[in-house]
Amino acid sequence: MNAVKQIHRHAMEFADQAFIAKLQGDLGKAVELTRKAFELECKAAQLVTNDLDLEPTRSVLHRSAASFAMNCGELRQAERLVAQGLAGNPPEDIAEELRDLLDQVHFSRHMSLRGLTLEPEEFQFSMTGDAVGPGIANSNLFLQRYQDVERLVYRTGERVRKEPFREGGPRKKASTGGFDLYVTVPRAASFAVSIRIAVGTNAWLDGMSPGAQLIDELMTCLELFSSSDEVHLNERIPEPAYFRNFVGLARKIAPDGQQVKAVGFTTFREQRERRVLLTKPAAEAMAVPQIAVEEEPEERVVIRGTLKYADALKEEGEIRLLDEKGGIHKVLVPEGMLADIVRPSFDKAVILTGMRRGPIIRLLDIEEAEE
Amino acid sequence: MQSVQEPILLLHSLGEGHPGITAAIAEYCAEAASLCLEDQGHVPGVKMGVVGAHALSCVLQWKSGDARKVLSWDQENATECGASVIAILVIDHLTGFKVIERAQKGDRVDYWLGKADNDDEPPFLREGRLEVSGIRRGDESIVKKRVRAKLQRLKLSSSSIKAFVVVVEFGTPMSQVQES
Repeated sequence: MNAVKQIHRHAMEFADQAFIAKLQGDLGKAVELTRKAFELECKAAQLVTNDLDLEPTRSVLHRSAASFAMNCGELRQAERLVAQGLAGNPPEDIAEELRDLLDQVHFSRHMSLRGLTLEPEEFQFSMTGDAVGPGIANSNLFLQRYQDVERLVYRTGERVRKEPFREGGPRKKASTGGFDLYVTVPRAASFAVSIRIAVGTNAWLDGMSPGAQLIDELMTCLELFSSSDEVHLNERIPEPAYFRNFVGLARKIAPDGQQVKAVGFTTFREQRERRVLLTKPAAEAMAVPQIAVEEEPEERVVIRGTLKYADALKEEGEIRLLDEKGGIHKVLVPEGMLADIVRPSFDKAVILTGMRRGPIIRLLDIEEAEE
Repeated sequence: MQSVQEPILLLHSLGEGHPGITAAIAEYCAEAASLCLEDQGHVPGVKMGVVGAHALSCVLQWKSGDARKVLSWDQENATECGASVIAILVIDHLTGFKVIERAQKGDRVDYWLGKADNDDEPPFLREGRLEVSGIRRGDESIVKKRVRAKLQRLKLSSSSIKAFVVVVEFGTPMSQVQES
């Protein structure tokens, strides 16, 4: 037992150093250290693999090794370790963790293209969770996210073209470089579609395909959002309205933790797949940045109600929320959020979070509530 | 009347006695906690109240900081890592539970707890769960709301093992502890 414990502790030392390296932004070092943790934890798991009654040690070590394997991209190894863990007599809570991990392994496999060719102007969007099966998904959950992905692509196009943020009004095709989006039929891989950016004649960047550049920019920003790296994301999107808009839309696309447990994006560049996986539920993901305020103290409020009024003519957008007791709340919407984050929820039940000062609430976040 | 001595929580002692906390992470988190406390104008020896399911008044001690570290930390990570140190030390003091394992992503808790590690026994016997959250500065209502959100999150877990939620607020400083 001591030998197993010692090997496990060495593995954890590498894992913790990897965690620190990741927090410090050194992803290369983090991957290298995670691989060392994986190799050691694998060794510890193999030492107890035949002792089926050594629980919970046996299943915890297999789960831990499988998790490191997944983080190293060793999906087959991860699958094998989960299966070995489940083949013993794991306590129910650890068995559940092993099953969750297996779901993640399978989703990662589904994120991989498996022979499907993606053009540089295409990316795959996939999701999994309790409301998603092979080739079938809850239509509301999928369509809402798909539409938000579309908005994110168009906004990225406008931002990269250095257009001022469009707070309202119809999108002008020319301001995004004249492209349209096309989508394939869904595939039975959790639930996945390919989305193509088809650029017209009015291409807006020299050299590399503008659609491919736009997708690369989107993937980089989603990667930073996924790792909660607000500093670097803000460096990439310095304009406050675009930044708020990006974070607000990414939060809407993010999983809810149950019905949708993971959302993935995949591209193909130079013979390699690039994947971005969103697993953090929106409630725990990066928050929409707040506008700096001063003077009187503010109170954080959460109100459930229906959106009934909007005025985009003022400098700061304004909406009215009718709460469940018939009360009306005036809510100011910061630039970047009205068109894409708030408008899709008009006349729907929502949960609104904001900062109240006197009679006015300043919007922080809004999500659709279950009716 | 003799006054009751307040317990002292040594932030840099986190690496001792917690089998699931390695020296590297202990030092890293202790540095984060000291940064968060100093950022709020506190100095070593500041008193911290613990409220909620357990009541306690304790003293926080740490190795005073190096100003350069303020620049090297992402604020959100510092708050979360710093809160972890205080939460683990508080729960250890109140219950004797030690961290035996840092939870994996998706476990719906941050740490698995157990009793002191004995080299002859198998590790990982889970007897408690710990969910931690940090707030750099906020009033009691914000702390309570965060506690409620964390308790809500725990309901999504299928585990029946006793869970502790600890929300640490650095401005006062104070910690709220709840059990589920």
